Amino acid sequence: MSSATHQIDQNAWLRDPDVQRMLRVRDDDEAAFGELVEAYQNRLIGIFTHVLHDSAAAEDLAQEAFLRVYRARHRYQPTAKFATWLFRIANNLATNRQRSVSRRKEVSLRGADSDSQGPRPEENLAAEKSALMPTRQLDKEEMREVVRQSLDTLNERQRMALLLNKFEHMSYSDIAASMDLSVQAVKSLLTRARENLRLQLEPYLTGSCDQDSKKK
Amino acid sequence: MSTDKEKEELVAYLDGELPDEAASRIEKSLVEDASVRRDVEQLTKSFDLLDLLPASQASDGFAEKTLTAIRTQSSETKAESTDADAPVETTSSNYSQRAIVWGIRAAAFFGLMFAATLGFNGAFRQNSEPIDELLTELPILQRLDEYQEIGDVEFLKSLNESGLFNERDEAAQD
Repeated sequence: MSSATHQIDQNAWLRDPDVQRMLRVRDDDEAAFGELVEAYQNRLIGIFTHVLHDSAAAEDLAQEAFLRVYRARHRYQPTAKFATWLFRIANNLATNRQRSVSRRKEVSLRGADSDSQGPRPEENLAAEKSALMPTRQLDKEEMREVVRQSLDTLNERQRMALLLNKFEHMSYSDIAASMDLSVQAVKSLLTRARENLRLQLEPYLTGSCDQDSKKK
Repeated sequence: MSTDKEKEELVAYLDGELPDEAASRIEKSLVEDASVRRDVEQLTKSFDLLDLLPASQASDGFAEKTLTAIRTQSSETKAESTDADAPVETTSSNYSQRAIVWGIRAAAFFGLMFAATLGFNGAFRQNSEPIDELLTELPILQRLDEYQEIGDVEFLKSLNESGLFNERDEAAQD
């Protein structure tokens, strides 16, 4: 491979249309910023909603992420795909938010109950659900709730990595850049996330498999 | 799937992140091992179930609100930088304003000094009153022991009227 070809491959992200838009934003093009907001608002709010379980807070955080992008526009250097950069900001915001929520919970629990080792309410709920086990085929709404609760059993980093992988179709290297981790760390994180999710949903998958085989 | 390494390889294979050689190994074990096939099936199905999660939509006007927020922020930043960069004016109105300020400061200073002086004098006067009283009564205090021995002023008056003190004066003159 010639050095010129190698250079083109290295700067492949420069062909990313959103990087081009961001370069226009850097030059104070407000319309370009509006296009980026339109393109990413649902994706960003989606990720935040799955992480926070609060659509209003998700919108607030998404707006804060866009404001940070705009504030940093003059310092923007195109060194990765735009989505990678945006979701890196999003990940930092989500992490900070989760930390402050955990701190508030810790303070209120310290005052209310000394038994901080007990399961979280959603874990109780998941345990109740799993105690019922799928003796019948769950309807779509019930299954959605089971999936949501299974996702909640993952830790914050596993959940974020899995959501970026699933809904943003990000490669391991892009997830690594967004979450400030090594590619190997992302590989391990996603393996644990997928394995935990499989264990949580296994009873429902078995039912589904049995039904599939019966149909056959 | 027995080891962590094998699990990682299987997940990476499903995500299309495995090099060709490792991917071939996984494909071979898929053909030969039913438990690997079961694992792949469950991992795939559980991952696909995430599609059931509701897709979020931004509320109406989210983009417009965000653009308004950046416009507000930009205008505030501009106003701040304008204030910071504004040259210091040296007009006559500025001088008169400064004179008023300095006048108020001077009046406050002298007022404070006057109040302090008054306070000091008042305190000194209050403290000096008992001393003046003592000085007036000094002759009495100097002969207090004698007066206490006599005990009664009426008795002294009667002695004086009897001419006892006059006799002593006359004797002294002789």
